Amino acid sequence: MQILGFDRADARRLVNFLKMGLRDRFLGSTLGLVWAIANPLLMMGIFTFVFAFVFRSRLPGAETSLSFVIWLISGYGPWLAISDSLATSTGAVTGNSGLVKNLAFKTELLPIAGSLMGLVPLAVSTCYLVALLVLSGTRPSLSWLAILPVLVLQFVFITGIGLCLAAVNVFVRDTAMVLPNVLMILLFSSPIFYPLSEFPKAVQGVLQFHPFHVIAEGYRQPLLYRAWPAPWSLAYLAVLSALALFGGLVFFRKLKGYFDARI
Amino acid sequence: MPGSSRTGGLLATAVAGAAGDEGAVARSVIECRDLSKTFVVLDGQSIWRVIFGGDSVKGFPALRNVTVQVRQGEFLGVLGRNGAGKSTLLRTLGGVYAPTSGTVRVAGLVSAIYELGMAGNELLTGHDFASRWLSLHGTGGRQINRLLSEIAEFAELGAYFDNPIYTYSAGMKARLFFSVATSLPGQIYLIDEVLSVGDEHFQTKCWRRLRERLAAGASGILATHDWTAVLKLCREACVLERGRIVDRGSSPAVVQRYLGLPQPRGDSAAFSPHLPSVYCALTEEDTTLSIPIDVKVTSPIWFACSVESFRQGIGWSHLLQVEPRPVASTPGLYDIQVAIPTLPLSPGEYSLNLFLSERGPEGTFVSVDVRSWAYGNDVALAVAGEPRESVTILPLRWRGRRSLS
Repeated sequence: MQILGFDRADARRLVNFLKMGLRDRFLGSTLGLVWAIANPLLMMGIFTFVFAFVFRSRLPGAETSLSFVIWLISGYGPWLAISDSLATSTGAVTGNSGLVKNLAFKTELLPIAGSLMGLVPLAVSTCYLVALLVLSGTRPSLSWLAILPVLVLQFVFITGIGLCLAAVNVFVRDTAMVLPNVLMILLFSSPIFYPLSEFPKAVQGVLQFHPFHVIAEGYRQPLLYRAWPAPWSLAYLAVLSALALFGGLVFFRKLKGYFDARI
Repeated sequence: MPGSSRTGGLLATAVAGAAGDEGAVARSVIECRDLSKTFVVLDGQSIWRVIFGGDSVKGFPALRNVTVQVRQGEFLGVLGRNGAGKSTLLRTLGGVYAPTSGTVRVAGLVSAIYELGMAGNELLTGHDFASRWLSLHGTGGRQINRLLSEIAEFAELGAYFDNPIYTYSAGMKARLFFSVATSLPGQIYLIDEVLSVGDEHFQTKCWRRLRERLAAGASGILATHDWTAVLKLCREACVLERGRIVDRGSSPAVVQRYLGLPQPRGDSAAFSPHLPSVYCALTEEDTTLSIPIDVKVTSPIWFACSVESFRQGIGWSHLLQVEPRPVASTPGLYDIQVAIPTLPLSPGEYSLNLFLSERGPEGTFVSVDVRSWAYGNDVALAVAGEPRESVTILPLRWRGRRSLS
């Protein structure tokens, strides 16, 4: 059986690459895999400290600054996962040139595994967020499960983009250099750090279709307001994700025939 | 490994082929036809044309119309200088590179050693590298543990097996890599230029392992510029030059032409054109080989001959040998009679090597005409009869006896 040109053996290999990626990233450090959890956790901790105790930021109409932190992290956590996924998948082919040159396999699997690596920071930030919510007196709710479809769509979407970037990066290595800067611009251009209402009215209409904003809202609505994300936003995200994944696979498969000239 | 559809389709054809030939010929396990591989040449402009899919891009042909076939149980030697396309051929056959045109069929799991560079992180320990390699090649669970201990033993890394690879010497890396890459038995081996690594001791082990794999039915291709390895391992060989196969045939003949060795011209004496290309004989029967020669000068001509056999993975070995002795000293046609009472060879095909020489100024022999595998023009000796236990039949007897102490 084949799905999008992948079979069972590819699935097994994908799991292998995931394990490999996780191990290799922290190889040589004493704490090893602990860092996979400690890094995002430290990041969230710093954010909590800075915004809850230093800046004492508040959402419009909210009484505590903890609610701002919760709001922030519910958007920033997925963002952290997105940037992690994109950075890892962009370098996935070039960084594994030894494998690409010495093993016959579908190279698509490398950026796909790279993108799935974002699941780790996402899991950590989500756990952290749930802990904060419970601490602030919110009772866990079934509606929280509504983030699952968003999560799936997010990774499909990012995998598609990651496939494109990974293929381009083989030929134009500058891609990996430019990426962090582009991500930074994207982060501040999307309503993740500030609520959409703080943007100028004229921009708001456009920004609500910003895919990263749609993803962030997909987490915020269920976790913070116990509401399902707007159906149009899920549909919109689904279409975008399908297009991204399909386009990414086609693009990658077209270019991978030329990898041997560069790797 | 390279797409199950490839393998599956091939097995089906191979089985059908075997049925048609009544299984007389060993099935071919590696086959490529008209294989060409062109690498695109990328510069500032063509990169964007590749990415955005414009018109075609200039290319560098690394392989041109290569057709190669390897039968089950055989190793094919591919000789060629640096940059001739050996590695490209191996990688294309192994499925790492997609062919630009032509077909590739490989039946079975491929174990490939394209380069000794580690496909992985040097921070990994030898143990982790090996287990990663095995799981990437589809080995699972319990089998991995068994293979890992075999690898550790074969590579002789001792406690270093659990140290990171960056602490290894070049020889240790090579040992680890060879051990890992040849750990899966009974497959297809694509080997590039590695039998010259490690010290004498490890080289011997490498050879022994390849012999064992061959005996168990493995097949493969050995790409190298080390012609001695080709002579030892491969019955047949070909030469790649700028992506083309420029020569192919039996390994000794190919090597001889590859090295451009001068061939004796047969000025003062030569084997007659009537020299048969095959002599037939019967096991343990009195045999006389009649060898016609043509002597053209008035000086002593010496004759020597040997019977040799080729075994894959071991190379050539002398079985019978006649030291040089004078046979003629005046011009004319002669028949040299080589008599071998109760021919001590078991049935099979042997190589008959014949040498005519003159005595040089310092008492050395100077060849004037040669028929030998080393020159690729040897004469076959076909021996028929009942199969025997050993290749040479000697009047030996043995039995075990309990020692007294």
